[in-house]
Amino acid sequence: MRPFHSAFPSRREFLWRFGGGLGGAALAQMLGTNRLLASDAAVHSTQGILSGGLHHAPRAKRVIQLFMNGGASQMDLFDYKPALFRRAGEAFNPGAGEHVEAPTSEPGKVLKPPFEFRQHGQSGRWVSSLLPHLAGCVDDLAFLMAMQSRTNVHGPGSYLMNTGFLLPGFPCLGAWVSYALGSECDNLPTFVVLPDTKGLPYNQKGNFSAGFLPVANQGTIIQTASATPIADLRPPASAGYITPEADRAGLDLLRQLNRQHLAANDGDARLEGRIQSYELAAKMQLSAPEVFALDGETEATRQLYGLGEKTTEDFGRRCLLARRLVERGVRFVQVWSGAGGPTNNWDNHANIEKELPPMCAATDRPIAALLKDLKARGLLDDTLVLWTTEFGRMPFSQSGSGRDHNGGTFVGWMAGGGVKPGVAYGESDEWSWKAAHNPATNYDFHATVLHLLGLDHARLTFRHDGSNRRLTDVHGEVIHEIVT
Amino acid sequence: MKPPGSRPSRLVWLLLLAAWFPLPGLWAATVTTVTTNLWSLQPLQHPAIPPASGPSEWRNNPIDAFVADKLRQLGLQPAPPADRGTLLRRLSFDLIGLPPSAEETAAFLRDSRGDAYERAVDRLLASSHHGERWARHWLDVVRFGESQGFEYDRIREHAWRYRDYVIQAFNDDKPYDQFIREQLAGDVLLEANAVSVIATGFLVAGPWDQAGHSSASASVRAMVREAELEDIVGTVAQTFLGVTLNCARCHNHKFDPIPQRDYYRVKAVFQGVNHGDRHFPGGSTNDWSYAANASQPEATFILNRGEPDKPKDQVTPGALEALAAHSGELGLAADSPEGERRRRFADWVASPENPLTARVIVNRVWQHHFGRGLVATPNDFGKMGEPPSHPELLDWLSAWFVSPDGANWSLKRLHKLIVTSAAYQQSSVISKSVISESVTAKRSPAGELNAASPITESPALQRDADNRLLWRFTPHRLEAEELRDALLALSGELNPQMGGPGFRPFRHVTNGGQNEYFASDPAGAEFNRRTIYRISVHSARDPLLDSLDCPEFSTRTPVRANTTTPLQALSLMNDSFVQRQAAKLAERVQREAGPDLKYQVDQLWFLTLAREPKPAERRDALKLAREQGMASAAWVLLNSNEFVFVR
Repeated sequence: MRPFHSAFPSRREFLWRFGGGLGGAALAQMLGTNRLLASDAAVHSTQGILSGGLHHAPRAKRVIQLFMNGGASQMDLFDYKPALFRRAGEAFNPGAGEHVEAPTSEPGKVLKPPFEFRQHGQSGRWVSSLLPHLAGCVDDLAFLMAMQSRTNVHGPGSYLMNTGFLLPGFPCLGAWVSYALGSECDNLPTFVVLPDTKGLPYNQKGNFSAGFLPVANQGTIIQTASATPIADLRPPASAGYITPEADRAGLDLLRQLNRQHLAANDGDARLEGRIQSYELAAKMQLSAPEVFALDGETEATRQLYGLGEKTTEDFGRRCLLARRLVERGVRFVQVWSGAGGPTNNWDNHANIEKELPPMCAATDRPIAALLKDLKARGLLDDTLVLWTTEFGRMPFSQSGSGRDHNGGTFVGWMAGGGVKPGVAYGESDEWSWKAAHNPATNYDFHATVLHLLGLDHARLTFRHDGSNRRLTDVHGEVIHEIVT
Repeated sequence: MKPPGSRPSRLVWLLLLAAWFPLPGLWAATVTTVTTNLWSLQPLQHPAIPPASGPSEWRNNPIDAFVADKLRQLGLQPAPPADRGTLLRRLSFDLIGLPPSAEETAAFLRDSRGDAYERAVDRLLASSHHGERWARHWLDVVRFGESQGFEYDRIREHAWRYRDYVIQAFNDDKPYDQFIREQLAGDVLLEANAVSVIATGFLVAGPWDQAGHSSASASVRAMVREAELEDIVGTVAQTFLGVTLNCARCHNHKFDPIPQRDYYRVKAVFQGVNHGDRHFPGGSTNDWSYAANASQPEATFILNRGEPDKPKDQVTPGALEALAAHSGELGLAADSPEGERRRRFADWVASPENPLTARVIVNRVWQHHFGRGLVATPNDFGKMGEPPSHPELLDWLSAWFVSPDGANWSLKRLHKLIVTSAAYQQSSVISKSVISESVTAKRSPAGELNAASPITESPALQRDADNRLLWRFTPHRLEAEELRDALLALSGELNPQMGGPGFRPFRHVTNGGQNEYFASDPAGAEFNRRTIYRISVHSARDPLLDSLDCPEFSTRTPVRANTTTPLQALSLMNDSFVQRQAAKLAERVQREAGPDLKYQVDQLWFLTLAREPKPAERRDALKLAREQGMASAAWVLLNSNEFVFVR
């Protein structure tokens, strides 16, 4: 029969029920251990459980992911293609009888990027005139110049870039990281999402889902423009009977009743865990308002992020908040640019020249500010910054001056902990239509992010639906060329 | 109750036991060398009921004989019966998802007749709330959603009919084999009717990619359709058979004896099924149901790596080939009529000869009564799933369930047999001296059993901390819907209206074809219906229910997570819905108990916890109620562990 080393309810069961929920640090403290939570939490697995510790030494401890919702146009921002300028207005003919199709329209003529390109920095990266601030940071970035998606439809595409699967129901990158690493603090959520104040992205909350992982790993949404940025942090105004005194007195009695009940039920760990969860909730109530208090930042910092200016206020505020959150121990912050729907995002079907510049103007300065600020504080050394989108756009026109979706090639970049600065990996064809050399899939991208965090993407698994599910499904290669 | 059929020889039985018993090394060796010996694919065994043992109340029900036998082998004794208040609360949440009313608790505590408990079981099984509770379990498994999901996420206005179908089926105790046939082939059965057509909502309850289907690109459309069929095939196989057939889309199953060919044969059965609204027999032209819309499919080919543009060999429609005693050859030609495919497949599933069908449903029912299945992986009875903790009991129950002399496919008979067992009625307390001397000496060195901490003094905890052998009742936190429904029941605000379109506690905005939903908490009777009637729109999730592990609508959820988090605590502390019900509960106890605060506090305890307050509790609650109001006291109890857990 099985050896009896487990405490009650078994350690495995305890972690399955509470794993990640209390945050890694709190849980480790409670259990007097620093073991990797992922291993224990996968209690339903009959597979071998990973041994203690991370898979290897991490290069980064936390992540800020900037997600451009809608499919940011690579050839109008980073992927400079002289052919598009030379042959603008011609029929698009990639040659060799290649079949050309677009997902929502009939392919139009070759469309010249209506923006100027220049090389920047020591690395000489090409950046268009839409991103003057980021252009000053290219030597800190590692570009993936030929990312590929398996789809060019927003819903599945966003799921793929966030969860590694085309269908709903799978955990996103932030949830996996939360599940694996837990939190660095016990007074803030592990994984925080800062959506565009204009609205949620395509797939809405599906992109921040914990899927089949314990719900504690789901992204906590902070609505920065709302009077109550975190839902249920405080009693609602509608509950008139909850005065601060009543709140305190109520919680006192609750603690007392729960303690007596625990004593009568002889140390049931779940009852104990629930008592702790109220104590942690109280800590969160105290800590959260401080995070949002941006007036504690210097005027120089506020200006750096573009606060106080209409164009950059929203994204700048959220980038600054992201820095404050990771500074205080939040493991993963996702900052979104662009809501769902036909406008106010990077999905520029109608007119690139009109639709793309405002998106760039809103994000360019804040993103550069975030990189500089993290660097100045020494945080960039072990913080990973990711810039991603669900797919790219077509080299030919849609309805005259817009571009349709293109999963064939697009651009993403990384910076920070463990990332080789000032490099580019991969190359698209002469049109920026399809990847030509060294493509990077979402699986490779995720594998690399996990690698930098000290995790082996092939070993970070959770048993569900008959398989040991991974963020990278059955694919993924770490892109060592962009790792220091 | 006698087990139907013959019993295997003692030697066979011992061998089976050896393969089943949870010794990981032995188990792995057994099934990797001879995969076709996978336990779940073997015909149902008909084990003899072990001789009764244990306390007297453990001698009346075959279930107890099996459970007690296993406990005895481990040298453990069961816990004493739970006290009656605890027991009624447990039973009531279990069978109808609601707490007992104060009157029901009082009547039950007064009822000294020998069959008082059985009467309570019968009353609850006859309640129309029973279907509302158990339909929720089923809807989790079949990934029931009422919107398309993905970027547009349009509402399926008529999907609620399937939800009502499931509730009604459980309330009517529809024979499970008929329940299967209707969901798989209800539109093409010879006796097809409105109910059976609506039942095929099962097949199309998963997400549907509107943007992908309307793509200008043929390859995108083909890929989207292939993913949609994987959802249907995977859900059919996991729901009824506990087989992860979806794992064989791209290659032979890595662990179970399921060739890739099997996946495509079953896909051929369902390849004609499409999503959409449809009329049903007897309905008016305004009556629609979101259900299977079938048409004759094209030829089916095995796809290399599951990719639609890489066809290999053609296949005929069929079922699984690994069930030696129940052939998956359905006698269907490659071009056989669409309806005939699903009819025959449904017959193959809903057969007493199919050992998976009975084992899987018996295990699901057991799981929701005890908190864990006899097989802890209810959608995966394969090699990577967990072996059964009580293989003989699972087979005895499965054989009994399908036998005309047993339950004859009646789920209510199965529920009753389980909840009237002594194993179910045990207390959740942890006894500290439940081991016999002789076994102690034999099993382990004395030193090994001694632990310093008082909570590990119990031998049962040391031997079987997870309580797989059922030496007590495992307490569990209320599920999201139970908790919300209980708050409404206690506050007196529960609107018992059954069926029909669900309520929509959100603001709905359309933006260029995309639907956006902003969850809110509107007050009013319309929104005070049971949670199962909250429309399951993918993008309109409820933060309170989310924090309590309400699963994703698009993912098959055979076992819910049961987490405890600070954000969950914040929800229960501050959510406006919880606050409102606390205030209403306070008004109710004031109304029912009269002006005396002491009686109000007593009534509050009785309603929420099914017991009287202890003197110290009464004193402290009185103080809080006097100083901060009765709503504060009500709020405390609704947040308390004793309320939130079922013991």
